[in-house]
Amino acid sequence: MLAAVRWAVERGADVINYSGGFAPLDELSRPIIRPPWVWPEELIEEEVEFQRAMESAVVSVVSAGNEGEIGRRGTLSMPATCPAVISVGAVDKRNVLARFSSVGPALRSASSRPTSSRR
Amino acid sequence: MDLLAPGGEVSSVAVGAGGCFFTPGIISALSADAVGQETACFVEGQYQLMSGTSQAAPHVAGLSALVLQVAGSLGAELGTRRAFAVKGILRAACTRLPGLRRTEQGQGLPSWDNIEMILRDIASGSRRVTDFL
Repeated sequence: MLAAVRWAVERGADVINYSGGFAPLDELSRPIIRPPWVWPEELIEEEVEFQRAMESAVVSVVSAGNEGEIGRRGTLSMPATCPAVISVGAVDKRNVLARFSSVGPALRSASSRPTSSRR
Repeated sequence: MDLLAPGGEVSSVAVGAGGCFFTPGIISALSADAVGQETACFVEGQYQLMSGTSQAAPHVAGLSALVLQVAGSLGAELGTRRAFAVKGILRAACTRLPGLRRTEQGQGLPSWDNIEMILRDIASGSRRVTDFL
Protein backbone atom coordinates (compact mmCIF):
# COMPACT_ATOMS: atom_id res chain seq x y z
CA MET A 1 0.00 0.00 0.00
CA LEU A 2 2.77 2.43 0.93
CA ALA A 3 4.61 1.80 -2.34
CA ALA A 4 1.40 2.18 -4.36
CA VAL A 5 0.52 5.55 -2.82
CA ARG A 6 4.08 6.86 -3.28
CA TRP A 7 4.09 5.63 -6.87
CA ALA A 8 0.82 7.44 -7.65
CA VAL A 9 1.99 10.68 -6.03
CA GLU A 10 5.36 10.59 -7.80
CA ARG A 11 3.68 9.96 -11.15
CA GLY A 12 1.54 13.06 -10.66
CA ALA A 13 -1.84 11.39 -10.09
CA ASP A 14 -4.76 13.73 -9.45
CA VAL A 15 -6.90 11.16 -7.63
CA ILE A 16 -6.20 7.89 -5.78
CA ASN A 17 -8.92 5.34 -5.09
CA TYR A 18 -8.09 2.80 -2.40
CA SER A 19 -10.76 0.12 -2.03
CA GLY A 20 -9.37 -1.88 0.86
CA GLY A 21 -8.35 -1.72 4.47
CA PHE A 22 -7.36 -3.49 7.63
CA ALA A 23 -8.82 -4.29 11.01
CA PRO A 24 -6.69 -3.57 14.07
CA LEU A 25 -4.65 -6.35 15.67
CA ASP A 26 -4.05 -6.91 19.36
CA GLU A 27 -0.63 -7.36 21.01
CA LEU A 28 -0.61 -11.00 19.92
CA SER A 29 -1.35 -10.02 16.29
CA ARG A 30 -4.87 -11.41 16.41
CA PRO A 31 -7.52 -9.38 14.60
CA ILE A 32 -9.66 -7.45 17.06
CA ILE A 33 -13.23 -8.48 16.34
CA ARG A 34 -15.35 -6.67 18.87
CA PRO A 35 -16.03 -3.00 18.12
CA PRO A 36 -15.68 -0.19 18.77
CA TRP A 37 -12.16 -0.47 17.43
CA VAL A 38 -9.65 1.81 19.13
CA TRP A 39 -6.62 2.86 17.12
CA PRO A 40 -3.31 4.25 18.37
CA GLU A 41 -3.26 7.98 18.98
CA GLU A 42 -0.36 8.47 16.61
CA LEU A 43 -1.20 7.99 12.93
CA ILE A 44 -0.24 4.60 11.48
CA GLU A 45 2.32 4.47 8.66
CA GLU A 46 -0.32 3.96 5.96
CA GLU A 47 -2.42 6.82 7.29
CA VAL A 48 0.64 9.09 7.22
CA GLU A 49 1.27 8.15 3.58
CA PHE A 50 -2.31 9.00 2.60
CA GLN A 51 -2.15 12.26 4.56
CA ARG A 52 1.01 13.12 2.62
CA ALA A 53 -0.80 12.38 -0.63
CA MET A 54 -3.65 14.74 0.33
CA GLU A 55 -1.10 17.40 1.32
CA SER A 56 0.55 16.92 -2.08
CA ALA A 57 -2.77 17.81 -3.80
CA VAL A 58 -3.66 14.19 -4.59
CA VAL A 59 -7.32 13.54 -3.71
CA SER A 60 -7.37 10.25 -1.78
CA VAL A 61 -10.63 8.30 -1.58
CA VAL A 62 -10.78 5.24 0.72
CA SER A 63 -13.55 2.69 1.30
CA ALA A 64 -14.93 2.69 4.86
CA GLY A 65 -14.92 -1.11 5.19
CA ASN A 66 -17.56 -3.85 5.21
CA GLU A 67 -17.76 -4.60 8.93
CA GLY A 68 -20.99 -2.75 9.70
CA GLU A 69 -22.76 -5.92 10.70
CA ILE A 70 -20.46 -6.67 13.63
CA GLY A 71 -21.45 -3.43 15.36
CA ARG A 72 -23.01 -0.02 14.69
CA ARG A 73 -20.11 1.89 16.20
CA GLY A 74 -16.39 2.08 15.43
CA THR A 75 -15.79 -0.37 12.59
CA LEU A 76 -13.96 1.85 10.11
CA SER A 77 -11.02 0.00 8.62
CA MET A 78 -7.56 1.54 8.28
CA PRO A 79 -6.69 3.75 6.31
CA ALA A 80 -10.30 5.02 6.17
CA THR A 81 -9.50 6.04 9.75
CA CYS A 82 -7.08 8.70 8.45
CA PRO A 83 -8.74 12.10 9.04
CA ALA A 84 -7.24 13.58 5.86
CA VAL A 85 -8.73 11.15 3.33
CA ILE A 86 -12.25 11.03 1.95
CA SER A 87 -13.74 7.90 3.54
CA VAL A 88 -16.78 6.42 1.83
CA GLY A 89 -19.57 4.21 3.16
CA ALA A 90 -22.22 2.52 1.04
CA VAL A 91 -25.92 2.79 0.27
CA ASP A 92 -28.06 0.29 -1.61
CA LYS A 93 -30.09 1.04 -4.73
CA ARG A 94 -32.88 2.62 -2.68
CA ASN A 95 -30.33 4.97 -1.05
CA VAL A 96 -30.63 3.13 2.27
CA LEU A 97 -27.42 2.61 4.27
CA ALA A 98 -26.02 -0.82 3.37
CA ARG A 99 -25.99 -3.24 6.32
CA PHE A 100 -22.36 -4.10 5.64
CA SER A 101 -21.15 -0.50 5.55
CA SER A 102 -18.58 0.16 8.30
CA VAL A 103 -19.30 3.05 10.63
CA GLY A 104 -17.36 5.59 12.62
CA PRO A 105 -16.14 7.07 14.78
CA ALA A 106 -12.44 6.33 14.39
CA LEU A 107 -11.58 6.19 18.08
CA ARG A 108 -7.98 6.74 19.11
CA SER A 109 -6.22 6.25 22.39
CA ALA A 110 -2.65 6.62 23.61
CA SER A 111 -3.02 3.35 25.51
CA SER A 112 -4.08 1.45 22.40
CA ARG A 113 -1.27 -0.19 20.50
CA PRO A 114 -2.96 -2.26 17.82
CA THR A 115 -0.98 -2.67 14.64
CA SER A 116 -2.42 -2.98 11.20
CA SER A 117 -2.62 -6.46 9.72
CA ARG A 118 -0.12 -5.72 6.94
CA ARG A 119 2.63 -7.85 8.55
CA MET B 1 -16.66 8.64 7.66
CA ASP B 2 -17.14 11.48 5.20
CA LEU B 3 -19.92 10.46 2.86
CA LEU B 4 -21.85 7.67 1.16
CA ALA B 5 -22.12 6.32 -2.39
CA PRO B 6 -23.75 3.34 -4.10
CA GLY B 7 -22.18 0.03 -3.04
CA GLY B 8 -24.70 -2.53 -4.25
CA GLU B 9 -26.27 -5.18 -2.07
CA VAL B 10 -25.45 -8.66 -0.84
CA SER B 11 -28.46 -10.93 -1.23
CA SER B 12 -29.05 -13.89 1.03
CA VAL B 13 -29.94 -16.08 -1.96
CA ALA B 14 -27.59 -16.58 -4.90
CA VAL B 15 -29.11 -15.33 -8.14
CA GLY B 16 -28.64 -16.55 -11.71
CA ALA B 17 -26.77 -19.43 -13.26
CA GLY B 18 -23.75 -20.28 -11.15
CA GLY B 19 -25.16 -18.20 -8.32
CA CYS B 20 -24.15 -14.60 -7.63
CA PHE B 21 -24.70 -13.15 -4.16
CA PHE B 22 -23.77 -9.61 -5.26
CA THR B 23 -27.21 -8.72 -6.61
CA PRO B 24 -28.09 -6.05 -7.20
CA GLY B 25 -24.38 -5.26 -7.47
CA ILE B 26 -22.14 -2.65 -9.03
CA ILE B 27 -20.68 -3.56 -12.42
CA SER B 28 -16.98 -3.48 -11.57
CA ALA B 29 -14.03 -3.61 -13.96
CA LEU B 30 -11.90 -6.75 -13.69
CA SER B 31 -8.13 -6.52 -13.57
CA ALA B 32 -6.37 -7.61 -16.76
CA ASP B 33 -5.29 -10.96 -15.31
CA ALA B 34 -8.83 -11.77 -14.14
CA VAL B 35 -10.37 -11.22 -17.57
CA GLY B 36 -11.42 -14.52 -19.10
CA GLN B 37 -11.91 -16.33 -15.80
CA GLU B 38 -15.55 -17.30 -15.45
CA THR B 39 -17.16 -16.27 -12.19
CA ALA B 40 -20.75 -16.45 -11.03
CA CYS B 41 -21.04 -12.65 -11.09
CA PHE B 42 -19.48 -12.21 -14.51
CA VAL B 43 -20.81 -9.42 -16.78
CA GLU B 44 -19.83 -9.25 -20.46
CA GLY B 45 -16.36 -10.71 -20.06
CA GLN B 46 -14.53 -7.74 -18.59
CA TYR B 47 -16.77 -6.91 -15.65
CA GLN B 48 -18.14 -8.52 -12.54
CA LEU B 49 -21.01 -7.69 -10.21
CA MET B 50 -19.58 -6.79 -6.82
CA SER B 51 -20.95 -5.12 -3.68
CA GLY B 52 -19.24 -3.31 -0.84
CA THR B 53 -17.75 -0.01 0.20
CA SER B 54 -14.97 -0.96 -2.27
CA GLN B 55 -17.55 -0.28 -4.97
CA ALA B 56 -18.82 2.91 -3.30
CA ALA B 57 -15.40 4.61 -3.10
CA PRO B 58 -14.75 4.74 -6.88
CA HIS B 59 -17.99 6.68 -7.38
CA VAL B 60 -16.47 9.37 -5.18
CA ALA B 61 -13.08 9.12 -6.89
CA GLY B 62 -14.97 9.75 -10.13
CA LEU B 63 -16.78 12.76 -8.68
CA SER B 64 -13.41 14.09 -7.49
CA ALA B 65 -11.96 13.79 -10.98
CA LEU B 66 -14.99 15.61 -12.41
CA VAL B 67 -14.57 18.44 -9.90
CA LEU B 68 -10.92 18.80 -10.90
CA GLN B 69 -11.86 18.74 -14.58
CA VAL B 70 -14.66 21.32 -14.30
CA ALA B 71 -12.78 23.56 -11.86
CA GLY B 72 -9.39 23.37 -13.51
CA SER B 73 -8.29 26.61 -11.87
CA LEU B 74 -8.55 25.18 -8.34
CA GLY B 75 -4.92 24.13 -8.50
CA ALA B 76 -3.62 27.55 -9.50
CA GLU B 77 -5.50 29.19 -6.67
CA LEU B 78 -4.88 26.62 -3.95
CA GLY B 79 -1.68 24.81 -4.86
CA THR B 80 -1.12 21.82 -2.63
CA ARG B 81 -4.31 22.53 -0.64
CA ARG B 82 -6.33 21.56 -3.71
CA ALA B 83 -7.19 18.03 -2.52
CA PHE B 84 -8.67 19.36 0.73
CA ALA B 85 -10.82 21.82 -1.24
CA VAL B 86 -12.19 18.95 -3.35
CA LYS B 87 -12.97 17.06 -0.15
CA GLY B 88 -14.72 20.10 1.32
CA ILE B 89 -16.76 20.68 -1.82
CA LEU B 90 -17.89 17.03 -1.95
CA ARG B 91 -18.85 17.10 1.73
CA ALA B 92 -20.77 20.35 1.26
CA ALA B 93 -22.62 18.83 -1.72
CA CYS B 94 -24.16 16.07 0.42
CA THR B 95 -27.71 15.59 1.60
CA ARG B 96 -28.14 13.92 4.97
CA LEU B 97 -30.17 10.68 5.03
CA PRO B 98 -32.96 10.57 7.61
CA GLY B 99 -32.66 8.40 10.70
CA LEU B 100 -28.90 7.89 10.57
CA ARG B 101 -26.21 9.10 12.94
CA ARG B 102 -23.32 11.21 11.65
CA THR B 103 -20.96 8.36 12.45
CA GLU B 104 -22.97 6.13 10.10
CA GLN B 105 -23.29 8.46 7.11
CA GLY B 106 -20.87 11.37 7.52
CA GLN B 107 -22.40 14.22 5.52
CA GLY B 108 -24.69 11.84 3.62
CA LEU B 109 -25.08 11.42 -0.13
CA PRO B 110 -23.35 13.80 -2.55
CA SER B 111 -25.10 14.85 -5.76
CA TRP B 112 -23.58 16.21 -8.94
CA ASP B 113 -26.31 18.91 -9.07
CA ASN B 114 -25.14 20.24 -5.71
CA ILE B 115 -21.48 20.06 -6.76
CA GLU B 116 -22.22 22.00 -9.95
CA MET B 117 -24.08 24.64 -7.96
CA ILE B 118 -21.12 25.08 -5.61
CA LEU B 119 -18.63 25.27 -8.49
CA ARG B 120 -20.84 27.86 -10.23
CA ASP B 121 -20.97 29.93 -7.03
CA ILE B 122 -17.19 29.76 -6.73
CA ALA B 123 -16.75 30.75 -10.38
CA SER B 124 -19.13 33.73 -10.02
CA GLY B 125 -17.44 34.85 -6.82
CA SER B 126 -20.49 34.45 -4.57
CA ARG B 127 -18.62 31.81 -2.55
CA ARG B 128 -14.90 31.52 -1.91
CA VAL B 129 -13.14 28.24 -2.56
CA THR B 130 -11.14 28.76 0.64
CA ASP B 131 -14.42 28.41 2.57
CA PHE B 132 -14.33 24.71 1.68
CA LEU B 133 -10.88 24.01 3.14
